[in-house]
Amino acid sequence: MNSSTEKRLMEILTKVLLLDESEVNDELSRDEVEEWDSLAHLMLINEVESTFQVTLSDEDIMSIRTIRDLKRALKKLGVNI
Amino acid sequence: MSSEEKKTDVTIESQLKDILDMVRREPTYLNYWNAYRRIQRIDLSKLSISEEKRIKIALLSSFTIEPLAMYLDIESRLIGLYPEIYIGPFNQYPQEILDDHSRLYKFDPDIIIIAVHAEALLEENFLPKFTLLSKEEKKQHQDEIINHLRGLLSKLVLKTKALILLNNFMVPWFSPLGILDNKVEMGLKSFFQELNQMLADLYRADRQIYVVDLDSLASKHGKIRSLNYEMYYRGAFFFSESFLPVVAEEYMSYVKALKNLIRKCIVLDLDNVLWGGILGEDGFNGIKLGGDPIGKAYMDFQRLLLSYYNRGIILAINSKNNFDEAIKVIREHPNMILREKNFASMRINWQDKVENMLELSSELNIGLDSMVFIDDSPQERERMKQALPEVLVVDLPPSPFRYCEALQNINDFNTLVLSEEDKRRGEMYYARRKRKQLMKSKSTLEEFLKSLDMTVEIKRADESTIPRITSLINRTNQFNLTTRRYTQAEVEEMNRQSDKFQIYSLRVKDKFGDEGIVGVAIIRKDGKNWIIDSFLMSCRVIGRRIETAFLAKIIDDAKKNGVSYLIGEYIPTKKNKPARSFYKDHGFEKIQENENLAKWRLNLETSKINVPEWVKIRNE
Repeated sequence: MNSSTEKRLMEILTKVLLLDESEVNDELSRDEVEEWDSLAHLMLINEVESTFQVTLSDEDIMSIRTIRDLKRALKKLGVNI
Repeated sequence: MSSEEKKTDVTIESQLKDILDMVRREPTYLNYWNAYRRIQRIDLSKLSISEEKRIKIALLSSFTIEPLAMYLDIESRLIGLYPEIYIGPFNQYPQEILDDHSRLYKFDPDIIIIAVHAEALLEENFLPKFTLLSKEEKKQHQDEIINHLRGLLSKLVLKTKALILLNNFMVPWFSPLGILDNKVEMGLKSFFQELNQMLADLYRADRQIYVVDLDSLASKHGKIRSLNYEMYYRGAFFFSESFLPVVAEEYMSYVKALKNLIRKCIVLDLDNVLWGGILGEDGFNGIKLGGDPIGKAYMDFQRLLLSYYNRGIILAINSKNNFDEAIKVIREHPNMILREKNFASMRINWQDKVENMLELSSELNIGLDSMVFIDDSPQERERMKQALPEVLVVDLPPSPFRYCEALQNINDFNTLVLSEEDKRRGEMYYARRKRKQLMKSKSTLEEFLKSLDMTVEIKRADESTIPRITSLINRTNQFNLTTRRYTQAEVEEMNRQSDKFQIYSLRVKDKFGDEGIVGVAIIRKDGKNWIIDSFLMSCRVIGRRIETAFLAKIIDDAKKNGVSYLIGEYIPTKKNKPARSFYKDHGFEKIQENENLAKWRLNLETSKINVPEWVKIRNE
């Protein structure tokens, strides 16, 4: 795991979803986070894509329900997380 | 306000400040998003906010407009406004406009942004079919688009007084015809260029509808970079995150113009701003102005400043130099573009520049919050920012090659109307300086005023004067008894209702020139009472007792109409102290007063107003 990557992902997650760092964990899902609406979801995808210079597939974007899902999708694209 | 309420205000304000400071420090897309969403969670309804700080913006769009909404929300807050934003349902702008009971009309916006992209108005297979279409068929497509928009907008102007901003279309950079696009009768690019021209022509004279030049903004930014295809296909986002700030900035120009948060005066340093080098060291012949590349850049910067001057921006000088040496350059250097007459005032001395700035502000009667300061020295700039935060200090780039660009990127000079008076404002300031010199040579004020040969012309408002009247209504702060702001559409509407309203303009000429229209009064007629809804004079002519002549004319007209009482209202603001004793000085009696409004009354049967002998009045 690369800590600067982790830090940048943390900033995106906390800022897009209005969370405290302490609230962020891998199990956290879209159903639990009020701010994680469809617009926020696209914002989240857009931010990770431009930050880590990757393009997520539509299937991944649709199937990401938790932070673990997001990390898994990024790993698949070679992001060291 | 109770202490409890005050405490809530302070807590909320500090929360807001923290959030906005984050955006100020790091204006990224992510931070705008974060700020916007966090502020939405704060209950701002408890804040007591004055009307002039509020702005209601409605966005109607054929694509996902939330990102623009979030930029406009935060940008407005960054300049001290408290915006309320309404976002119409996705791609339902026609329904919103056509339905009399839509949420749009309930929201009652000050500004309505209609953001429609061409793809939404053209059939899906427009592009593949385009090259097969006849010229008539292409024209028909254009007419359909124009008629669709015109129909909606004509409904909108019936239902609302809001400022309406309609974007034009991005002319595509691609054409299937390639290099032959402008060899056929109407290529794809011409198709959109013509559409844009039609929109511009359609609303050229309109004072409520403005066409936002989205095509030009996209060109500036780079059309390829203006769209993020991922976000376009996934979520119908039309502006890329790098283009959004550019678009938002343009819309903010209208917000600033509407809320009168604009700059009127550019204050300039001399050395390394108007010319290259240090005059005190390099001398008259050693400074760089014209000739070499650097010298040419300084001349171009002066040309740009002159173009601002010719659209009514005031120029002034604030420079540490020996006056005699500097004025010799300004008067005699063959390559100077700006001359003495272009400067409303000059502070060329060894005094602290902050002191100079304060003096300029009071001499020119232009608030610090309307001034821009341009200086090449980072230290002087920092000092100005610290001492006078209201002044807009331009972060001038180190290279003079980039000076023009830095100034061109400032969007704080916009107004919604530009009258002939506005354009000639620089000239008038120069005449004023001459007038002041005359005043010094006269021993009494009365003697001076007599020597001016003043003529005052008071007329009812008409089509030709309404733009200037509107501009005065929205710009005058000091001698303004009620500071009520009206849009041009509202002024026109009042002027049409001549049984209810009477609007006057006042124009002043003297031996130094024509000041143009400098005074406005709006009368509300209520049976035997005439109420002075608005009464204002440009600060340029305060102190010449012209306001007395103006009031006398209104009294005269009121008497002719069988009116018994003239009611004057005074609404105190931070800036209008100069007008406070106006009604008292003219024999009105106070009939009502609280902290927000004082009412004064003049009995027209018993009163008489003497017009000062040095004012000649010409009525229409």
